[in-house]
Amino acid sequence: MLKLGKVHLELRFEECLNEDGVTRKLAVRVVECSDLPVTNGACNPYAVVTMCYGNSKYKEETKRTVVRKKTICPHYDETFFFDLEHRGNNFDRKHYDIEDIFSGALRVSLWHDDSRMAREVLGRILPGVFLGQIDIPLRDASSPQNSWYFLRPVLDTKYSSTDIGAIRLKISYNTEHVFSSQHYDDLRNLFLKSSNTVPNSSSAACILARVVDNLQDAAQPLVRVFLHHGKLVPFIETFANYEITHTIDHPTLFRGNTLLTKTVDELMKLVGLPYLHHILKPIISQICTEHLSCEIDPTRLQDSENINTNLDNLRHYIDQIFDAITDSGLICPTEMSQAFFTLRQVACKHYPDNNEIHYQVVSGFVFLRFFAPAILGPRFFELTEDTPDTQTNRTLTLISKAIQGLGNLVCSKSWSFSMKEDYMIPLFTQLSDTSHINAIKMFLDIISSSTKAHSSYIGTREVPVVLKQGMLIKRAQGRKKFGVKNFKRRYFCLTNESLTYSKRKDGIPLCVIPVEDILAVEQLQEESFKMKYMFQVIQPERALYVQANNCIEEKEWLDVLMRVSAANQNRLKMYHPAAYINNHWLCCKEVDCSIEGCSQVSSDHPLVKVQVDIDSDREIEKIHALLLHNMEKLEAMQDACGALEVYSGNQFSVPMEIEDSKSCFEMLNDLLKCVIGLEQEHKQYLKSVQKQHVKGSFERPIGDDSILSSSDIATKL
Amino acid sequence: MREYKLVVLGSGGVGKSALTVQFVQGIFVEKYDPTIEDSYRKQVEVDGQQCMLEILDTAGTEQFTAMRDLYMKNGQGFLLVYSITAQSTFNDLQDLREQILRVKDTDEVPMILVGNKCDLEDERVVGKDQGAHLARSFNCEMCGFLETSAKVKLNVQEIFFDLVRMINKKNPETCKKSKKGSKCVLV
Ligand SMILES: Nc1nc2c(ncn2[C@@H]2O[C@H](COP(=O)(O)OP(=O)(O)OP(=O)(O)O)[C@@H](O)[C@H]2O)c(=O)[nH]1
Ligand SMILES: [Mg+2]
Repeated sequence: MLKLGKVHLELRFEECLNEDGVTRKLAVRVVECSDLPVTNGACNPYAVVTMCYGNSKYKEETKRTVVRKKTICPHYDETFFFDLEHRGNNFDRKHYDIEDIFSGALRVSLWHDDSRMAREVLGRILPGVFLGQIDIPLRDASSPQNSWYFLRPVLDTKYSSTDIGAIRLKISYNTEHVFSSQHYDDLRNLFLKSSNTVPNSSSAACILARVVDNLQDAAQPLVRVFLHHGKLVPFIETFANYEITHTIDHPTLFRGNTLLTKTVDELMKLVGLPYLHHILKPIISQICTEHLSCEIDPTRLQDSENINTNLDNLRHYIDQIFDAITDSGLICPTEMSQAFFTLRQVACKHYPDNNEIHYQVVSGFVFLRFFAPAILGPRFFELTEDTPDTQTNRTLTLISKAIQGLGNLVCSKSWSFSMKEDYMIPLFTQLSDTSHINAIKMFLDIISSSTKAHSSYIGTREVPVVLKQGMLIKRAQGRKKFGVKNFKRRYFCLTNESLTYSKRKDGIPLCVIPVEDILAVEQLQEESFKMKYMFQVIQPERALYVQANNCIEEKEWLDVLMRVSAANQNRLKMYHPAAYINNHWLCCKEVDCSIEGCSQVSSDHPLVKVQVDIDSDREIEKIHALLLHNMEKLEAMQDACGALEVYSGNQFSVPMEIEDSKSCFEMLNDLLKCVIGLEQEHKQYLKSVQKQHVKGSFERPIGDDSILSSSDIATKL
Repeated sequence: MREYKLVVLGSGGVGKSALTVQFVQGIFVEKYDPTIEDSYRKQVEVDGQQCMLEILDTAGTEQFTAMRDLYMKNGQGFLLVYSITAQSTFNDLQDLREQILRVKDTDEVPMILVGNKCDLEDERVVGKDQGAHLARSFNCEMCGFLETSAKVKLNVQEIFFDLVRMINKKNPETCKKSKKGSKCVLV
């Protein structure tokens, strides 16, 4: 809201006796103002009080205060009297009845006294700059008033009388009061242990998901809390395990709307938007501006259009988007990769021999719930500002269908599109070749090949995913005490688990560096060995110095090595940009070979390491509000648990399915305790606020209708 | 020829596409390829009258449901499909129906409740009586109920034909007056 300051007024009706009998007056006391705006670096304010009698525009009377110099909080304490039975020259009626008086209004406006500026008000020229005003219907003043009012900008009367249609809006405004952290600890801990609660259905997260009307409401705060406290991966693991054991036919695995799928969905939106924009924004805006026809359905074709041209147009767009997506594996945000990795591991554990499902669980999120919806409705992902027109929408629909089909190619044994609509067959025939299939596999492999951030499935480990391989030249690492530190050509291979080299391709590895031992990957200064394109792989005890064949290869190796080690907990902050040669570091000249580095390591790709601001307390407060809103359901659930316990569930049919009534009952009990406790604190807080801030007081001036203030809510409670 | 705009709705994986493709092309799609938006046209004869059916097979995946309002606005009859092997797919239909009624702004919308995958009797979790009960609670006049199987081709043609009959019943006006070429669009 525009801040124009506020004014303190006192209004009261007075009755005086005189020769005509009783006359009524309105006394308006302009006490003071606060926080008036400054104009041209100055504020010399005065107030104008205008009385408007009855409904007529012309029965007005204006009075003004003195000017106070150089203050934005002027004190006036001037009282003006308006004679309600007074009739000016124009007035022909002797008496106004009380109704008539009350249909009148009082206006108080504030002005900055500046002789260079002048303004006509109600037919009088007032020098100065308008600051703000307040209109008070006299109806509101029937009892004495002593209040602060917010000043408002003057209303443009030009439009007020013309009918320019109506719009119906639904606006809701919520106030949240977030207490300090320790108030939320109990409730937070109940949720954080969701992944360890047995059975899963008795966990706080599951109970919350059961009682809310909309799963997204629960998933949004939960994903933030879990992410903030490093519990997202175990949460996904536990809940994915639960779902996989409860899904009979695997093609529909993770395809429903569950807390798990919603959580992963929210995570992708939370950390993946910059990544999505990086991939899709340029091409989507190109599609919107070029406006080429891509219709390939003969029944929808315009007369002038050629279906083959359209197919070419469409193919061109699909190729561009497909390449952008499949090339982006290495910049997929770490949190997303970890989620995909976890889902894939769970699928591997349950279906060790079914490669298609391993791909399906990843594709089902990243293509079906991320890329395809973003292409279909770019506006919902902030990829475009305006709604695309019908033709562009149709183009986007066709692309989205093709991209989803491609993402789904590797999810079945046949590796083929399902040819459902006839007109899509020519397109799908073009797209189903090994190069597309391999690109998708590679992409899905990379984004779901997180490092060992979480490796509880050592036993059922998959074949490592090869991320990059090729011939490079490396310097001996000095692992043998008396070895010569010479340079040799070696065949390098990086998987999601380790970096190895051997004499030739598929040879026996001579050295294996586990990915978690990679503390930093950086370029090496040329002067170290007088060699170009060198980089270093820093490990706890030593560094491996490697030379690439050219700068492009060097960059590729650096990128992919950085990416696989991005999730390592022990990554270095400082490193030495040059080598340790002849008993000193060439860069900083230090002789201690184990001394900390002298330069900062390069930062991760900004898309990979996304910074999200999460206020855990605020999210827990949201969860509290959700639980409070669904108190009845929680209690009903508790009753059902109780009934099951007492009657062993036989005598009475319990309306709810409860897996384990004992643990569920206890969890509900704990939840209710937390919620009731927090709610009492809220009520107390609101009461204290209400006491402090009476409507019309300095803290809560009248006219503050832009917010529902706390005491309004308090009165409702 | 009268045109009918039919919309197939329901949660992901319940067999909307399988039913539609079985009806239109007579084949069972084994592979699950989640739909974004597919449309089909098929000319059929219902009770001696030629009809052109325009069938829109929609996405069950929640991320695409922003478009639902549009489908609902244009559709004349709806198939609400659930799978008898998944309770949640049955529970989702209540909201879906309410959304249709809201978008259409009337209580009289022809629809058929479809319990699919009834070949999987061993995995049944939604009883036939539950389906029938839900259909009755909707609106007897304007809501039929059938259990189907896209796989063994049970009741597939019936759900589409019944829906056409229901639209005819609600809106018996025919287009005999209008010459061929001009379309008859019902709202
Ligand atoms: N046993 C059996 N399987 C079926 C039947 N109908 C469909 N399926 C299978 O269920 C899976 C999903 O079927 P779809 O028709 O693609 O599901 P959908 O409702 O179109 O799903 P979305 O497009 O994601 O909304 C496929 O693997 C089908 O083969 C049926 O009647 N019986
Ligand atoms: Mg489908």
